Amino acid sequence: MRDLISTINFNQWIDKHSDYLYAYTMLKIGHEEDAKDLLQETFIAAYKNIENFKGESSEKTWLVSILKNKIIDYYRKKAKERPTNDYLNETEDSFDKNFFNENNYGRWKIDIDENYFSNSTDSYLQGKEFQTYLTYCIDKLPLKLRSVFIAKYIDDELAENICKENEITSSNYWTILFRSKTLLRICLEKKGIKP
Amino acid sequence: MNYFKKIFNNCHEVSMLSIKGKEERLSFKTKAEMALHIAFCKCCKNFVKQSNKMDTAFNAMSKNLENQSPYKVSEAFKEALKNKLNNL
Repeated sequence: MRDLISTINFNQWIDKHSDYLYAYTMLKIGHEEDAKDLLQETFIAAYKNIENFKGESSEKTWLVSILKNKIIDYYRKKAKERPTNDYLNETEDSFDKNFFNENNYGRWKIDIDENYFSNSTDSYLQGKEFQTYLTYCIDKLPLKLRSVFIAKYIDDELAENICKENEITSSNYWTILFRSKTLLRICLEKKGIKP
Repeated sequence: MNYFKKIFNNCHEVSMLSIKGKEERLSFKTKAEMALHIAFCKCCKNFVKQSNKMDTAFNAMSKNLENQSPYKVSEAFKEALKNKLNNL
């Protein structure tokens, strides 16, 4: 009986939710093969633990919560290879040198006062063209920045949880958000967005 | 004099604080110094503006992930996954 019900449900769930789950994973990790593996692991874990699904939340919410844990494990594994703190320290100089003139009290190295999307309307920012550029630019972010950045700006998670999940200090958290935005804005400018 | 030079030129710190200040309370002194810098620095003014615009775009992305995302899995992948679960 259980087998019958779960088989039917799971086929539907895969049809209904795998695109969303995959899009979510790609945004977070940007690696196709790994994203597919995580997606597969998520459905297998859900299948094996179907009795934990109480139906209190939607199946989509439940699947996302399983997936999120898988993604956290994935980041942790990556963090073991290269701790985030080391990454930030090692790349600090080149980031600073690229964008700021430290001999001049930290002024922007190149003036960034041009109106690239500074005055864009909300509907343009929410529209397909800008969103496509944004996806492209997020995809260029280093994974170390990306996990924190997406958790904050796309998942709207609390800083405290983000720091815990990524095992970083709050000072690293600010550094990561700042670097992400700096890199994104320069990428968006390079795409020549100037409506 | 150095104090003012620092306030007027430290874009690095001001732009970073502009992001931090959205989530955390900054001291009155810090806020005043930031406001002073931004009033005279068109680059940081622009950074803050663009940063806010990006927030609007992120919000939309988060809501429309399903419809607007370029990432999709193939039907073959879905079928393979179904088979895998059926044979567990």
